[in-house]
Amino acid sequence: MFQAQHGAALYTHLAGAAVVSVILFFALTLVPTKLRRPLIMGVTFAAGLFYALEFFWPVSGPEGDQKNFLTAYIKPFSDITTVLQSFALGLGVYSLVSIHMRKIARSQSGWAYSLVLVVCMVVMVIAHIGKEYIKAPWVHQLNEFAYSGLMKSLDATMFSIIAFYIVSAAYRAFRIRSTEATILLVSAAIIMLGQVAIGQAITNGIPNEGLTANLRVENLANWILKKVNSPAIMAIDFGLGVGGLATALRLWLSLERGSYFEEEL
Amino acid sequence: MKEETVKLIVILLGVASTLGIYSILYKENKVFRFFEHMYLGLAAGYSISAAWNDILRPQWWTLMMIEGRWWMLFAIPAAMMFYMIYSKQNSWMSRLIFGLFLGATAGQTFQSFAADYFPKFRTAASKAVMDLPEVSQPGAYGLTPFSAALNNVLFMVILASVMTYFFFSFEQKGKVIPTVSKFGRYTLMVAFGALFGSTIMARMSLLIGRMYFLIHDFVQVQLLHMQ
Repeated sequence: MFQAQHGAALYTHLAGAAVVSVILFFALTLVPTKLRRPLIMGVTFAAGLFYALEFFWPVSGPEGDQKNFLTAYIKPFSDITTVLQSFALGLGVYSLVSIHMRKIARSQSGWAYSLVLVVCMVVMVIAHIGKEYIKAPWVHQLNEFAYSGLMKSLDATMFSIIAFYIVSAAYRAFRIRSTEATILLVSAAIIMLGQVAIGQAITNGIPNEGLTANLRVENLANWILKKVNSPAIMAIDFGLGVGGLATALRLWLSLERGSYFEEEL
Repeated sequence: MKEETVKLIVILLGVASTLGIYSILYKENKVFRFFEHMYLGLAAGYSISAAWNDILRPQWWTLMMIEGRWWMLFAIPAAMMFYMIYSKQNSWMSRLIFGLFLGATAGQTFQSFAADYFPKFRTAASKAVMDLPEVSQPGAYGLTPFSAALNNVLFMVILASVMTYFFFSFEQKGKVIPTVSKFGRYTLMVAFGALFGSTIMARMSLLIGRMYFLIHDFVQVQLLHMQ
C-alpha cells in the first residue's frame, strides 16, 4: 500500500491522502469529551512504548549491528518528529508576528521598532530561502547584506556584549566573603591565566618536564578542567538524568499533574 | 552591483550594527533599540528559512514530491493539530500531538539514560584502577603510575561527593555524610569557577573578534587601504 508513486499516480495518491486527512481531521472533532483524555493518554503511552519496546526487545544479528523488528523504524519515526517540530515553529512565529502587527496597527508606543522587526523577518525569509531557488544576483546580494552583513555581526556583537557585563558579575562573584567564594576565585583565575599567553608567562620559568611541570599554570588549568570540573559536571549531569527519567516516567504514564495536565478538555 | 561594492556594503552594515549594539554601553538609546529589533527579526526569519532549507525541504518536501512518498502528506494534518490550540472548541487536539511528543521524548529519555549514563559511569569507574599511564607517555608530566592512579581515584571521590551533596532524599546527619557533602560543595565551587573562567574567556574572544573586525577589516583595509 505504501509504495512510492511518480507522475500522475503521485498526484492521484496525494489527492487521496488529502481527502483521507480531511475525513480523519473531521472525525477527530467529533470525538466525545469523555473519550478525549483517554485518547491523549493512549497516544502518549504508545509513542513512549515504541522506544521502550525497541530498547528492551531481544536483538539478533552480527556483533555491532544487532537489531530487532522495531529498530528499522527508529530513524523514520525520528525524522517525522523532526519534520513535525519544524511545522510547530509556526506557533512561535504566529505569536511574534501577531503581537508586533497589533502594535503597528494600533500605532502603540514603539510601533516603528515592531515594523523593523517584521520587515527584517520577511527580508531574511525571502533572501535565505530565495537564494536556493532564484538565480538572479539581487537575491544573493540581499542574502549577503541580511546574513553576512547584519545577522552575523549582530549575533557576535550581542553575545560579546556580555564581556562587559561579566566584569560587574565577576566583581560580585569574586568578593572573598567565604571559603566557597575563595575557591571559586582561585579556580577561575587559574583557568583564565592558563588560557592566555601572559598567564602562561608567569610560570614559564618552571621546566616543562618532570614532576615540577605540574605547577605550570596551563597544566594546573588543564588538571582542574579534567580531574575536578569533569567529575563534578558528570555528577550534576547524572542528577539531571535521574530527574529527567523520573519526569519522563510520569509523562509517559500520564501521571503528571498541574494546570496543563488537569484542564478540562 | 559589483562584487567589491557588495563587500563594502557588507562591511559597512557590519560596522553600523556593531557600533549600534555597543551604544547600549553608554546608555539606553533609540539606535540600540533599532538594531535590537532588527536582530530579533533577522533571527526569527533565519529560523524559518533554516527550518525549510535544512529540515522541511530535504526530509519532507523532496521525499514527498521528488521521491514519490505520498504518505508524507499526512504530516500536514498532524502539524495542523498544533495550531488547533487557537480553537476554543477543539484545542484538545493540540494536546494529542503534544502528547505524542511527550511520549516520544519520554521513550528517548529511557534509551539515552541506559545507553549513555551507565557506560559513562562504567568507564569512569574502570579508569580509577585500570587507566595508569606510563611515565614516558606524552602529557603525563612526569606522573608516576601511583600519582596517575591517585588522580583517577580523586575523580571518583569528587564524583561521589558531589552526588552526595545533591542527595536530598534524607536529612544529612552524622559526621561522615555532611563532611563528604561539604567536600562536594567545595569541588563544585572549583568546577563553577572553571566554568565561569571559561565563559569569560569565550566572551572575551568574541569581543576581540569584533574589535579586530572594526580595526582591521574596516579601518585598516577599507579606510586606510592597508593589507
